[in-house]
Amino acid sequence: MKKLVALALAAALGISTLLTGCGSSNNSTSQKNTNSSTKTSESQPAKQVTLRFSWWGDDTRHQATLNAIKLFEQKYPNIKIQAEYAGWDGYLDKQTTQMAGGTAADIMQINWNWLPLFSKDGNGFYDLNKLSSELGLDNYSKDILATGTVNGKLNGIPVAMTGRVLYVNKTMYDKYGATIPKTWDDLINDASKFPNGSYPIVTGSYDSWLLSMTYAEQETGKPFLTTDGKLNFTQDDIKTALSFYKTLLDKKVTTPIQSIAAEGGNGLAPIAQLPSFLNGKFAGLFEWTSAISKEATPIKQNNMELVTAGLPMNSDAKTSAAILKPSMLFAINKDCKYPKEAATFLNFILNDPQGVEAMGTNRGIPVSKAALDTLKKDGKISGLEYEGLQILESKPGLPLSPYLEDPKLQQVYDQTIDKISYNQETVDQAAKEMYTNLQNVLSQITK
Amino acid sequence: MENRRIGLLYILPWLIGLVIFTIYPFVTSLILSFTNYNIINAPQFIGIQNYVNMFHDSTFWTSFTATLEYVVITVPLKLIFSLFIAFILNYKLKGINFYRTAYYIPSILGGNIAIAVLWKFVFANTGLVNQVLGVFGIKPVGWFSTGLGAIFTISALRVWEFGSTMVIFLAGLKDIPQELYEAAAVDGAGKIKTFFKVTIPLLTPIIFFNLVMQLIQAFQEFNGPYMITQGGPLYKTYLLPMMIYDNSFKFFNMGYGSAISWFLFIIIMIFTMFVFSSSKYWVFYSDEGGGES
Repeated sequence: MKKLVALALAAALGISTLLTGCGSSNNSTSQKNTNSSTKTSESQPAKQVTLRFSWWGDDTRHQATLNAIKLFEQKYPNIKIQAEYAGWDGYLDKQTTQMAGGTAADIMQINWNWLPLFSKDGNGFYDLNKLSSELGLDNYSKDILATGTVNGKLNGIPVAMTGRVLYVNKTMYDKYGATIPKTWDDLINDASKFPNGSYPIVTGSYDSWLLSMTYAEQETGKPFLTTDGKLNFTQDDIKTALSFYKTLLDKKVTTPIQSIAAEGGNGLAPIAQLPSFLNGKFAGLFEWTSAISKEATPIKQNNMELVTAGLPMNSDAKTSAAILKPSMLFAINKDCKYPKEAATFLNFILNDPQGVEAMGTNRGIPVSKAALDTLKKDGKISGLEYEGLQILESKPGLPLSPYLEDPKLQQVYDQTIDKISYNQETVDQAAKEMYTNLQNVLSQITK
Repeated sequence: MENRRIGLLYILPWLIGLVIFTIYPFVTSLILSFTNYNIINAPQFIGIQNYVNMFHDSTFWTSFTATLEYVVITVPLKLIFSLFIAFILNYKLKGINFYRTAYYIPSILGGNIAIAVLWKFVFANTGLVNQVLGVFGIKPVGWFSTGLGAIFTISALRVWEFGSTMVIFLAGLKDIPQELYEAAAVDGAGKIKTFFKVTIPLLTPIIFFNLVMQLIQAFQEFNGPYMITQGGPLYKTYLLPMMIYDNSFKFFNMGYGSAISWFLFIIIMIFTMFVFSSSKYWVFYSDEGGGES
């Protein structure tokens, strides 16, 4: 009996210390808060506020952002920013759980294609139009803000834009006497100059679809998807895209998916990490402007030069069909208790020279005019990313649907491209099947 | 009475874990499998629609076929390989403890990104395996670009993690009485005959145990396809657990993901029950008097 009592006591003690452990720490923080708020209310009227800020990224981004937060807290001592950061892998799972459970951070870095996921009617995030002066929205063009707007409500401020551009390995192109392609015909003609086993470009399943879709949009002048997620291509338009892909394969312009797979490329790691890309056998790629700078480094280390080829267009093209979208946006939680303070923070990292310099270009080349001016003065704006963006901005395409990158649709693109590359289906069969599958998926995801 | 309470207190942490991490998800997934649930909105009851969709989904059937192929290739390979290694490690060799530890290491490494990178170097078209084959004049095999090749690469990952099955086999081998081998030697049985007439029959309970465990594990394989092949080429290595993951956490179609989970659970149960019911024909327990006397 004694033993049991002792045990029960021990357990009770353990539990109670745990409870008081939490409780007391809560007490102490709330005390601290009240203390400091009384203190600040004496010296300055601002209230002590803590805001949570979440983002994904790599170490350089984490470090730069943490520095910017430090500077912000020095400038605005009444606002504390609690950083919550992680890598990209599994980030959407976490974000979704938090959004569903109502525990998402006050300030969030979000992906552009999450807008239809979390905010179909525009009410999923705080309407930033209400904070336009705090946010310095006059630094952004109307077109740019439109990309973050859902149903008339500004859900997120685009941080940077990114788009798909053709980049080629100039060293290899020069070696084989191929010309940097301006038109699709150039690109196809180049292929004959490359020796067996070498290719002018390499495109994975998803890249291949985007490239072929761009071509078909240029030919037809029609967007593939509407912005509200309806299929705008007919089966024939899809066939135009897929026939183009088949031509690229047959003329050995792009590598078959088999060759990519054989090198261990599985769609998870960037295609620019394939051994044959690094040694110049695959001499070009259709890549996001935001990803290219990092991918060009190993090419440079191998004494080769990657250059911007731009967006190929034939003379009869009806549009550039440029794919250009926000690479990421900053949003404020719709339930955020201190939206003004959150906006002050965003304005600091997006527009304030001090914040902008700390943040650098690791989230891409900023679209805010103030930020761009600051970084231009510092000589930080140049290179492949900037060149690519300038080409895309000089040739505006069709309105881009935020549904384009839906993972379920991506599965359809990948399946179709793979079946053509592995010779499982003819272009006609594949176009028919793709058309049906796209309709099915779109009806599910836009419900 | 007191002892009972203390006992209960001792196993309480485990019980809490069981309820939270096993029973709760188990029941929830069954309920969710009858709903349309995307995490953001509340689940909608849709009856058996998910199960009906499943049977009309060609990706599901490709995935199911791939899973069966994977199991059929992996389980026997792994059992034979770990038994083989256990058999060698059962000899009294110099530094045997070092080898026993060394062979266990792959199991600890398990499936992580580093291993996935390693696997790419081993099986890529210019990788280690193809280079070795080249020495014998064999043309490079497209391990990742052919269906069977890709299944083999992810099977190889499982087989390579043979440590725990090997240890269990080793324990079983040590349990076989030495007299039986001596008796067999006196009767003039050779090494191979002794192995098949003495070792294997007495090892059947261990083989049975390992077979059941490996069967269940193989059906649940996720790391290999996710990290090495991403289900490719053409969904030939898109095993059911990966399809469950994609539907639940990539497409946020929790209901459908749960329905596939339950299908997988039933398939595993059928296979396990089959192995159990067949065991009376091929598993011998020496204390039943079947082996000796």
